[in-house]
Amino acid sequence: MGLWEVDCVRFSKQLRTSIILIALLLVFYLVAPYLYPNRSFFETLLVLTILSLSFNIVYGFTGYMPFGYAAFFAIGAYGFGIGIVRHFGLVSSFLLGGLASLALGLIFVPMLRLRGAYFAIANLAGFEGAYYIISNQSLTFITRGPYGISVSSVYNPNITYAVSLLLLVIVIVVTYIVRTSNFGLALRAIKDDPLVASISGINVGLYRGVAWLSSAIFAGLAGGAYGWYISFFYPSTVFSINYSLFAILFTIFGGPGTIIGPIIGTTTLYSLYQAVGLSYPLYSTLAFGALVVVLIIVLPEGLKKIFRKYLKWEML
Amino acid sequence: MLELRGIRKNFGKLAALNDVNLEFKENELIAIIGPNGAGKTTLINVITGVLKEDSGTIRYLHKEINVLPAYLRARLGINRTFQIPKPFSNLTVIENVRIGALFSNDKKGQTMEEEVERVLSLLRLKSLADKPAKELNTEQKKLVDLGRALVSRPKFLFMDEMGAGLAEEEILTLSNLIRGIQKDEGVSVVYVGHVMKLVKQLQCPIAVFSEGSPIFQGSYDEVTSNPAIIKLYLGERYAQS
Ligand SMILES: Nc1ncnc2c1ncn2[C@@H]1O[C@H](COP(=O)(O)OP(=O)(O)OP(=O)(O)O)[C@@H](O)[C@H]1O
Ligand SMILES: [Mg+2]
Repeated sequence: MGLWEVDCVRFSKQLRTSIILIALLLVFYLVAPYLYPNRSFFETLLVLTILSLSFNIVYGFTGYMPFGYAAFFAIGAYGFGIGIVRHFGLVSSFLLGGLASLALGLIFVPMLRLRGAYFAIANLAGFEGAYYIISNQSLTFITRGPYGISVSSVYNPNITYAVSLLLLVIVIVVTYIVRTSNFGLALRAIKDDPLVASISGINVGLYRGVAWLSSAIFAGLAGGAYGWYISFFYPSTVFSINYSLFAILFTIFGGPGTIIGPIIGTTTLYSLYQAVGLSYPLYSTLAFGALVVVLIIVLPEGLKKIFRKYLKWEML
Repeated sequence: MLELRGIRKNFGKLAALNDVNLEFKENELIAIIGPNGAGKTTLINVITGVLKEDSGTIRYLHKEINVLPAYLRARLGINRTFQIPKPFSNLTVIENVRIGALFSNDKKGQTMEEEVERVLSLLRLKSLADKPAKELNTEQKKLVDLGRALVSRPKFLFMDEMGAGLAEEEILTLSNLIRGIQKDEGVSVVYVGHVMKLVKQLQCPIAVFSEGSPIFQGSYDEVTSNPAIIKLYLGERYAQS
């Protein structure tokens, strides 16, 4: 059995769960906006779920903690925006967003030699560097520098929503493949002990790199969808460390290394974030921050552990 | 043939490997013994690519493999176990063995999953297959480590001290297992250790390491009757008496 092959017999139960999961999500995202007519909420929730799932491919399967992860999201929005401004067309612009964050991912690859906090900090510095370049006045002719980019010519929230939903399904399928294929098994081995993994014939650098780059692409596509939806954005709108924090918190809260964890994590915590924001607009960030601290103390391994302990169910 | 020429490895001022020249032939069982700190584990580390030698060459299949990264040496069929067993702790027993099978040196023959099953039953690990490796005891961890290495169908398998802390009859079982593996799997086994009872049971040629290089090669009887080696192990006074 090859590296990418998914063993449908061994994982028949997981396959069924994933199909049900995708069906439930489709129903939720198609029906819920009628019950709670807040388009912006659902579009943002979709985008953040995709972002968390992308982040999970790196953090959940390789253990790297990229604090500057939002750079992929932002560069994706910019790739898309620049494409639209230059009249590349919708599809090409969208792909350009993914390509831009793939390129940024490649530039960041040497960081993977660092471990732990060093990697996290280097990545944060990379984020700042990318922000500096994009927002630089002297690059206004490409990026519009500090003046922001408008994609209002292609504004169409219904299509954006549909594309985001499609993207969600794709990233779930990719996560499923990573979770159940031998490639994913190799990633888990590397996470446990890179030395023994290499003694077992695994090209540790290559595997980490593949996970890193695929994660970057999806984060970029999520950023593109977001930029498309909000229609106009400044560098600081998308280069916001908040997107890193969201992806990190939502993933850890739900259960890193799973498919369902980041989805549940994002849905519950972001809904909560919105609810707090609506009721206490002034204190929303503070209240949310406090909530997160409490959650992390009470539930360090997230819902995954709760599911295992009380429901006797190993989260997919 | 796996051939070491002039291998040196220093840790600071300490010469852990001091001009080692050794040849390992296909399909044989040999033991390497030597006191603590003789450089046995360092030798395995250098051969498998965990550590880079300071100088010297390692030739295998007409290639200088010491320029290759560890994972390519593994794919050429050089594998090992660890003195302190290192299974992937968050992976189950069967997943640990599967990892070894991913880049099996021998693509022909059985499918990967059959091969994994075969190795699990050979090492009597079947009943533990779905247990995470971190929940195992040390002896079981050693077997998982061995299973991961063995399933890759290596041509050279370096086993670093598996006999420490074993009771008499366990030593007999282990030595039979090692001899069986060497015969049935078409692999050269280099067993490294200093539990002499186990080495005796292996009934194979022995190389003695001291201060970073091999100082003697011979049978068990030749090794144990050599005064210089007795002195090395037990000190001056014992050798004289
Ligand atoms: N990574 C390292 N850094 C520094 N010194 C080391 C390192 N690895 C080994 N040494 C030293 O090199 C010498 C040889 O060590 P090695 O582990 O190869 O001995 P050994 O023959 O395997 O001993 P034992 O029988 O106790 O396992 C020892 O003095 C050891 O302290
Ligand atoms: Mg040793």
